[in-house]
Amino acid sequence: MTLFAASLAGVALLVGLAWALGFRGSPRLADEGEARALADTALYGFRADAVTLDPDRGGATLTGDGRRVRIDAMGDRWVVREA
Amino acid sequence: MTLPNVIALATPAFVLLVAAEMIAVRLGAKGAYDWRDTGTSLLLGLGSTVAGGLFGAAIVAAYGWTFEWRLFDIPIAWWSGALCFVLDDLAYYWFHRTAHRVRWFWAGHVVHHSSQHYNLTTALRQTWTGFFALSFVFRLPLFLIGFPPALVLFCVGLNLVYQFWIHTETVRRLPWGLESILNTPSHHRVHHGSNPRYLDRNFAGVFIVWDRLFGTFEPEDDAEPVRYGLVNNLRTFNPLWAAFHEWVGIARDVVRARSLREAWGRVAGPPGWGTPHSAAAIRARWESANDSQAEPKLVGGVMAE
Ligand SMILES: [Zn+2]
Ligand SMILES: [Zn+2]
Repeated sequence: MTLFAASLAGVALLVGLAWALGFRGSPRLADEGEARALADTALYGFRADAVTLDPDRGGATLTGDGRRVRIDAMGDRWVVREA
Repeated sequence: MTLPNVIALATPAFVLLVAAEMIAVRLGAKGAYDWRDTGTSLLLGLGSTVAGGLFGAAIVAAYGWTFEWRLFDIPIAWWSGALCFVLDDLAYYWFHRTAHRVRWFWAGHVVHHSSQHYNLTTALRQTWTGFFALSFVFRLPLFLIGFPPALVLFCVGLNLVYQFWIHTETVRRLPWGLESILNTPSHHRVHHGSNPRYLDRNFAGVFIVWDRLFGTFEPEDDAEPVRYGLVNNLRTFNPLWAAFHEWVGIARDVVRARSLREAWGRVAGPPGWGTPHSAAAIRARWESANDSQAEPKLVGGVMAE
């Protein structure tokens, strides 16, 4: 139990260090082109007909060949999924 | 003769090395961290030690029972330790390859691949459900040969400790031809890649020799940066979801299956079986796209394939 508590403290320490060092960004999409490229790569080939960037550019919705795709931030990375 | 618990001994060093890598990356070394991702990885690592405590006794009992049927009486000595280390690494290769090609095993192993980052904390992102995924059965032949359970567990610990340090982008390539013998940061980066070129490659634990021997080796191409993570990446940092999501996916797909054959494929087929998202399907599309536009290129005076 003490070992578990010590390990939990170790986890908190390292997470805190990562936070303190500034590893806490949230990405922004530069433009529609970046959103298209992200979806194309992540879905191994996806041609978007229309791209709607979120107002804060922290995500996007894409449509193309009958599919609807969401790009969302996941920490400092993007996650691309068919919605 | 009692052998030390190498993982417990190494844990303080793991913590120090993670801190050192974070600081190095902050100071400009290649690599990336995200505090939430770090938290998920470390909590998964901590949880896996708890799971090990819960199921470890059952696994050790299975090892002991198998050992009763051994072919040889092998003493604990330096030579048997060396032999055991190499054979355990071979068993690891086949476990790991199966863990990527059969969804039941993948449901346990996917946890290790569920980060889009690749740093020392990724090494600690370990499964909680390895017992249910039956990963221990791959080691049973070692006990049948006659390696004592204590010796095998010692080698397993060493193997795991070795695999810690290769989860880093700070080291590019090793010198002195080590890249052709050992699993290295470069080879293992490839293993964590979701690029079609890198999918299901480099299953080695310590010796990359197995991948070269069994046809699953792919070198890291500096012109193609590795995209770390899964074909379908997670949308949450919740460690519980990271630990169990593929089991939930299996259950859902089995319930929805319209035939026994489909249900079986969803459990025992490769991840993404029956969909366009299996590694084989993704690679096949990538290869045909490459073939249609490929021209042979001259590399270093030699025609490359
Ligand atoms: Zn793997
Ligand atoms: Zn790994």
